Amino acid sequence: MARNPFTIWVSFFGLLIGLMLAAVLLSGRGRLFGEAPVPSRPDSLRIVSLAPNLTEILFALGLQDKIVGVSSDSNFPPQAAQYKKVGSFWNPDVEAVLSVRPSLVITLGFAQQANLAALLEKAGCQTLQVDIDTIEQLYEAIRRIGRATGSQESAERLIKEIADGLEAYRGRAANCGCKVLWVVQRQPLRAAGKNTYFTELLETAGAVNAVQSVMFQYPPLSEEQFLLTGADVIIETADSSDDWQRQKASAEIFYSRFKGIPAVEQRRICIVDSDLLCRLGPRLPLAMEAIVNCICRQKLEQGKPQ
Amino acid sequence: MITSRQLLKEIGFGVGGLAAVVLLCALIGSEPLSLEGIVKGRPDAQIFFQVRLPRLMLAVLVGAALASSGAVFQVLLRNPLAEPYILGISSGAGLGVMLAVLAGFQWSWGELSAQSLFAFIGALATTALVWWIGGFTGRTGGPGMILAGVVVNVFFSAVIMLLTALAKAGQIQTTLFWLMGFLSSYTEMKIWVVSVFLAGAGFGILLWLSPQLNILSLGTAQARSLGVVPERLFPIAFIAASLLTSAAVSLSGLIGFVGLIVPHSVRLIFGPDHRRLLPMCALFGAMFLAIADTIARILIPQAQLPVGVITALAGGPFFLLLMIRQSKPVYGGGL
Amino acid sequence: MSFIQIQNLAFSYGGLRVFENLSLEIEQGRFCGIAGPNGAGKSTLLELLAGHRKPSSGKIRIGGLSPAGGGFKRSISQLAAFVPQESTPVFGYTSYEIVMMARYFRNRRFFFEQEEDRKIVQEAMRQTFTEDLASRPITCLSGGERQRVYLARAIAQETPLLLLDEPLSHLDLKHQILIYEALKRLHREQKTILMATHDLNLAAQYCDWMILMGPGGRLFSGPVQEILTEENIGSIYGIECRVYTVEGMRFFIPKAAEGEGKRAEY
Repeated sequence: MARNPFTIWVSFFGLLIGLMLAAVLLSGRGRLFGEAPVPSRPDSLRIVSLAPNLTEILFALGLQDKIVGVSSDSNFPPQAAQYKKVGSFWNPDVEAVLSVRPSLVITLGFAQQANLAALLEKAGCQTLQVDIDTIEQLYEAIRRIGRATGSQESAERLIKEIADGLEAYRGRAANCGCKVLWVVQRQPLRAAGKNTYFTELLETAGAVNAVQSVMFQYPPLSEEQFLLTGADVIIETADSSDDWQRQKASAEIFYSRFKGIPAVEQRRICIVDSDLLCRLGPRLPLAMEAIVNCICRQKLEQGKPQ
Repeated sequence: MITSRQLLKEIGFGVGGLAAVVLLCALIGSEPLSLEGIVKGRPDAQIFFQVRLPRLMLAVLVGAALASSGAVFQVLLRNPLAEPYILGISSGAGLGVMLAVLAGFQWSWGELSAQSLFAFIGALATTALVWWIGGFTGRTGGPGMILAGVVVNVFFSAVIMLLTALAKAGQIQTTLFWLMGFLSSYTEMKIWVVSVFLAGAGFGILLWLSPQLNILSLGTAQARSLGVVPERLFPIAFIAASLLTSAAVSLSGLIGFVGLIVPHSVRLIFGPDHRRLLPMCALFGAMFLAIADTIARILIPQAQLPVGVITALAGGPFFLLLMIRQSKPVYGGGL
Repeated sequence: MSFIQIQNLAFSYGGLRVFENLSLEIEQGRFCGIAGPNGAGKSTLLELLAGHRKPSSGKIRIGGLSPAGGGFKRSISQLAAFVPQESTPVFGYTSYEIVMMARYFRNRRFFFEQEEDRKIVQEAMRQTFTEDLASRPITCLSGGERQRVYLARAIAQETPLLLLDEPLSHLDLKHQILIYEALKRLHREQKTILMATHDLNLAAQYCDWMILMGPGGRLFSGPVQEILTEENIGSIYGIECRVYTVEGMRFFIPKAAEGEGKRAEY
C-alpha cells in the first residue's frame, strides 16, 4: 500500500470544504423556518422601551398610551410599573417583547441589545437603536424618537425644556470654584472621568471635574491619585430604596483615611439619587440641581456667601 | 457486543425521544403558548418558530457536540474526568472574545458576531499551542497534555484578568455573558449549514474512529499490537474533537459540564464501546442541554438565565453522586 | 533464515543501559522461555520485538520485517500478539469486548463483528477458561483473571508469534498448569511463543528453548536441556541451586546461602 496518507487527507478535507462552500452559496439568505409570519401591523403605535431613561423620555413626550412594554428597571414615573415587563436592561426577554406585538422597539446600543434588535428586525418589527452617553446624544436620541413616533414637536419642546433646565444652573457654582469628584465605586475606587456627561454638567455649573485623566471614562484611582485630585466635594449615588443617612455615615468613615483631601477635611460629601444622576434622561436638570445644591450648600453652611 | 441492528434501534429510540423532548421544551417558556395560537400565527408562531425552536435546535447541536467531544477527550487522555475545556479551549476562546470586544469589531456575518469568529480562532489556536507545548516538552501522553493544558489555561486566564481590569463596564458585561455560556436564536440558513456541516464532519470522523478509540484506551503499547497506529489516530481524533468543541464554543460561549457529566454518565449506563457511546452521548447531550435551557428560561420569570448557570448547578450534585458511588466497595480491589 | 533474528541489539532507557550487543536467533515454532533477574531486560526485549520501543542500535527481524519499519506498523497485529504484564485499563470494557478487540484489524472494513470473529473469540475464551467472565467488566476482575483474558485476546488474534510478558505471575498453580497446557496446544499448532517467566521449573517442563538473560550482558540461548544447568542459573541469578530429576522432570531448587564464599560471583 504505497498511497500517501497525507494526500488522501488533504483531498478529503478539500472536498469537505468545497462541499461546504457550495452549500453556503446555495443556501444563500434563506431562513431556517421560512419567513416569519408578519403580524398584521396594528394601525396604532405600540412601543416597547428597553431602558429606564427611554421610558422616561416616552412619558415626557406624552406617549404613555402607546407603550405596551417596558424594561423591568423602568421605575419612573410610577405609572410605568403597570406595563408588561420585558426583561432587564442587561437581559432583555425576547419572547416577552414579541408577545406584546410591538410595532416599535427602542433600545440602547449595547451588545446583547444589538442582537435582540437584529432578531426583531427579522421578525418584522421596527427597532430604533440609540446611544446615549453624552448630553448631545440625549438630545439627538429624543429627536430620533420624536421622528419615529411622529411627535417631533413634543421632542423639540422636551429638548428645550431640558436645555433650559440645565442653563438655569449656569455659573451657580462658579463662586464656589471647586473640584468635584463623583465616586462611582468604592472598591476598587473608581470615579467619573473627564469624558463623561458629569463633566459637562459641572462645566455648565462653573465647577471642575477633579479627575483630569482622559484614558478611561471611569478610571480606577489608586490612593495616591485620589489624594492628588485635591477634590473639594465628593459625590456618591444611592438608590431611592437605600438608607441615605447610613450611606453618608459610612462614606465619611470610609474617606476619613484620606486625610489631605479638602472634601474629607471639610466633610463635603454628598449623596445623590442614582436614578437622577446615573440616568441620562429628562430629569437631568434635577440631577444638576442636586449637584449644585451639594456644592453650594456646604459652602453656605460654612458661612461663605453664595 | 453490538450488532448493527441493535445499534440502529437504540439510535432510533434516542432520536425519537430527543424530538419529543425538543417539542415539549419549545412549548414551555416564560410566555404561555398554545398550539392553536401557533397555528393561527399570532405572536405565538413568531415566538415558537423564530425564537424557541432555533434556540432549542442550537441546544441540540451544542449539547451533542460538547458531549461527544467530551467522550473523545476522556478516552484520548485516558481520564474519565477530562472534558473538552481541559486543554485550554475555554481560556483561548475567552481571550479571543475579549480581544474582539476590546477592539470593538463591528463586523458580523449575518447573525453571527465577530466575537464568534474570534472565539473559534482562539479555541483552535489554543489547542494547537497545547499540542505544540506537549510535543516540545516531550510529554505527549495523557497526563502530559493535561499539564500543558493547565499551563495554557492559567496563563490565558491571567491575561483575561488583566484585560478585564482595563476594560469598560459594557465590555466586561459582554465578555462575562460570553464566558457564562448562552443560547441565542440563529435563524439564518447559512449559519446552520456551516455549523451542522462542521459538527457533522467532526462527529462523523470520530464515529468512524470508534473501534480504534476503544483499543487506544488500553494504552499505546497494547494498541500498537492490536493494529492501531497511535501516532496517526491521536492527532486526527484530537483535531476532530477540538473542531467540534470550537464550533460549539463559537456559537454559544462556554457552556460547562456538559462535556463532562454527559459522557461520564452515558458511559456508566451504556458501556465504554465508542460505537454506541458516541451516538448516545450526542443524543443525551442534546437532551440535557435542551432541558437545561428550558429551565434557564423559566426559573426566574422574565430573566433569561444563561444556560451555563444551570449546567454548572447540575455539576455539584453530579460530583456528589460520583463520590457516593466511589465509596461503595468494588469487586477486585475497591476501597 | 530464522524466524526471529536479533543482531547487536542495544537499548538504553533514561541513561540506564539495559543491554548492548545482544544477538539471538529463534526458529519458527519454538516455545521459548525467557528468564533472568529483574532488570535484566526481559520485558524490554519483548517490547522491542513487539515494536513498542525503538532500539538504540542494532537490528531486529521478524519474518523478514523490522519492527521499526513502516511496513511492520501495519502488519504487526497480524504477526505478533502481545500479552502485557498485569495492567488495569481505565475503562470497564467487558472481558468479551476486550478479547474481541483482537479481531479489529481483520474486520476494519465492517465496523461490527462478524460471525467468524464471534466463534474465534468464544474458542479463545474457552481455551483460557474465561468464558464465565465474558460479561464482567475487566476492571472488576482479579489480576489473575485479567491475565487470562489478555491471553485469550492474544489467542484470538491468530498470529504466528505470541509474546507474553510474565503471564502467569498472578495465577494460582492450577491455572498456571491449565494455561501452560493451552500454550502447549498452541505450540503444537506451530505457533512461536516467547514467554518471559520467573518459574524455571514449569518452563523446564513445557518450553523447548530457553533464553537466560543476566547482568553484564550475560546471555545463554539454546535448547532447554542444555541451557538450564546449575552453572548457568548460578551465573545469571547469582545464587546456587541444585538440579534434581524426578520422573524425567527436572527441578531447580535454590540453595539458601549459608555463609561467605558460597555465592557465585558476578
